[in-house]
Amino acid sequence: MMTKKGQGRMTETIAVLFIFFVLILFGIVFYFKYQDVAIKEDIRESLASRAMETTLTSLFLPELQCSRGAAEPEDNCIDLIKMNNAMRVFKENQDKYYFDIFSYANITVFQKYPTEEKWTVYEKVKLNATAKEPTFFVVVLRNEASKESSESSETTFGYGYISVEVYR
Amino acid sequence: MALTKKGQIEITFNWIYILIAGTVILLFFVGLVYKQKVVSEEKLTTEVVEILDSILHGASVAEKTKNFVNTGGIADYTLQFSCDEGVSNYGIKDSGFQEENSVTPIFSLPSIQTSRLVFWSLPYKLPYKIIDLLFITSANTNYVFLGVNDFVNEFLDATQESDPFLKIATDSKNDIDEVRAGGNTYLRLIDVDGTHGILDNQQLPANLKDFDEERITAVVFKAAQSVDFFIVQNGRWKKTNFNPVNLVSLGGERDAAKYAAIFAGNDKIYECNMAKAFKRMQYLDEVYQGKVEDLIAFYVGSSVNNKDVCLISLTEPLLQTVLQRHHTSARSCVLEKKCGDLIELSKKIISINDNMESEGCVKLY
Amino acid sequence: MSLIERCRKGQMEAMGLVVIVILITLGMLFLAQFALKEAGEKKIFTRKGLAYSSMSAILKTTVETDCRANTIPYLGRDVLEDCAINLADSPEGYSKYKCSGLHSCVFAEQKITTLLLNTLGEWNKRYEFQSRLINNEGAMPIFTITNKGGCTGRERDTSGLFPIQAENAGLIENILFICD
Repeated sequence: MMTKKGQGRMTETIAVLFIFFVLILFGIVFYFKYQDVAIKEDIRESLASRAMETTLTSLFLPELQCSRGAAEPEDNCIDLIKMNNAMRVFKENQDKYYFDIFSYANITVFQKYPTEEKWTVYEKVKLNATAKEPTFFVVVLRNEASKESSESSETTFGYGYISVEVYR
Repeated sequence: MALTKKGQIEITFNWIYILIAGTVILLFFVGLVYKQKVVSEEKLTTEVVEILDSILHGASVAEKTKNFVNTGGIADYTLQFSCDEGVSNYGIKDSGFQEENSVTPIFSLPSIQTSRLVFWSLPYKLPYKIIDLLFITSANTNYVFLGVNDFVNEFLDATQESDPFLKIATDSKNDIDEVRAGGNTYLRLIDVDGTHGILDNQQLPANLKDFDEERITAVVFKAAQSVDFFIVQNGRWKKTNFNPVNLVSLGGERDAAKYAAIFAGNDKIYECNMAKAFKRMQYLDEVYQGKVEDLIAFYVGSSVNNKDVCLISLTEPLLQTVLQRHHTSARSCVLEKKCGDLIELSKKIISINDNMESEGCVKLY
Repeated sequence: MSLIERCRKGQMEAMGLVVIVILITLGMLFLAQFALKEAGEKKIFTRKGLAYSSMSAILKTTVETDCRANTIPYLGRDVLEDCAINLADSPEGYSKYKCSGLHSCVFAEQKITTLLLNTLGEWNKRYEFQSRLINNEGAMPIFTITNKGGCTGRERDTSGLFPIQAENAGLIENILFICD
């Protein structure tokens, strides 16, 4: 009877320890699962952050921005004449220079008024991209060589937006 | 008797069992905590360098503004900045983790240990905006001007900030002997006219002898378009550049190229980063050359009153030729450090642009 | 059931309760982390920047294709100003600009609605555009444009005030709110 009591208590102790270690294991599994989710969230945030940085870089690019002589350039404004030439310059120097600025991205300018137009300013698609993050920003499009300008020598401003898609 | 002995063995065995099991569990958790500590430190290092990278990339957005970042947990570490063959490297000394940047010109001392970094970005124009130059300094760097002139007053004014976190420590003295080390860790002397005793192999004045040699640097503006950089070795000034370094700028207010010389620790950092600006200049020149062609085509087809005047401005003196020479000069500035023509050509472009504006024509920039 | 058996059952039940309590505590701690997380600074900056750039673009847009005039009119400083000056005559009465045959105020409201719908509306943003005239008599609303119910009572970011001085009429205050 005494032996059985001892055995019983031993079994009890082992059972308690077993449950304890099961709890620890459960906690570890839970923690690693959480880490996995957190890392994925971090990666997604990092891509969104990169998308925003690329958008802001594009908006303030000297090759696109509306200049005003010696004064500070105009905010949120794209000079269409410069942009048309910049597209060519970006393409010719994409691998040796502009890729370091934009990386894998697709930068498109859309005009919504007065007419609907679309220009692909920069494009470098990543073939096996696992994620894509688009960002949009409204801009005004300065056209110093429009049809109306040719009659009145005044500049016209269109309304549109810039779309920046970055790839991971 | 047998029962007592059995009880003794059981209790003893229990205690030994508890001790061993407890130690194992304790060691397990201690190991986990230690591992987390190491991972956290690495994460912190990476985060700060990534924040730096993010701010550096955003430099072009925050034109003419200042920003700061608290280095927090890595305030005891030294940040290193260098530039070689057109690529800037920055990171924590001896950490093995560095970021590279081949686009943004970054001007700073070669190494900084501080609790707060201050970033300042100014546009570089020659004559149109080329790129934003980014200056990196710290809360514990003191910029002391030797001599007074309009440029000094402007710089002192530009570095004043109501926000204490954005303040750059500056001072102005008439003589190098008046300079005191103070509580700052880094001392940067700026000789505005080359007459204040900062010469190659010249002995360091007594008032600065107690200062850590590695933390004193100087820049001398002897001529209008050139600058010399100095460090301290064995109690004497040592010029780091063999030839005078070109200062390619149009002058005026907030002269970014001149400010860059104040923040750059040595000639290598200055020239290497300015080369990035000249490289960018070539592409901008191509954009503006295209714009001239488009404007010529526009005016040829237009019916505005000042069409002929505008076409003359665009074609005589040949704006295209001026821009082409500007482009070629920028290229030779990058490849051969021959930047002489750039300033004259830029002034010509300004003149043509102003003329176009006065005639009511579409300006080049 | 013997005393010993009852004690063991009690122990097992207690153990079970402990496990459940630990699980619930861990779950709550995990959820609390997300609940207490504040909206990222970057998100606010983006919304503010978007509101600012949209407002800026609207006011700077020229409407030469719809409004025939001696000079190229701007939607902000010309058409809106004309609307403020001739607000009393809206919608059928006189205005200097008759864009698409409409009174300035009607045209401005329609055009701004379209422009915002083609951009912010396409991106599923909730927004509210307000334009009002401030003079000696007080503040008079000119028009308000909303999408998805507007931003009243919601956490929102503003473009900032974009005032336009209207000759002899007062000050036109324009503001764009973007909210979640």
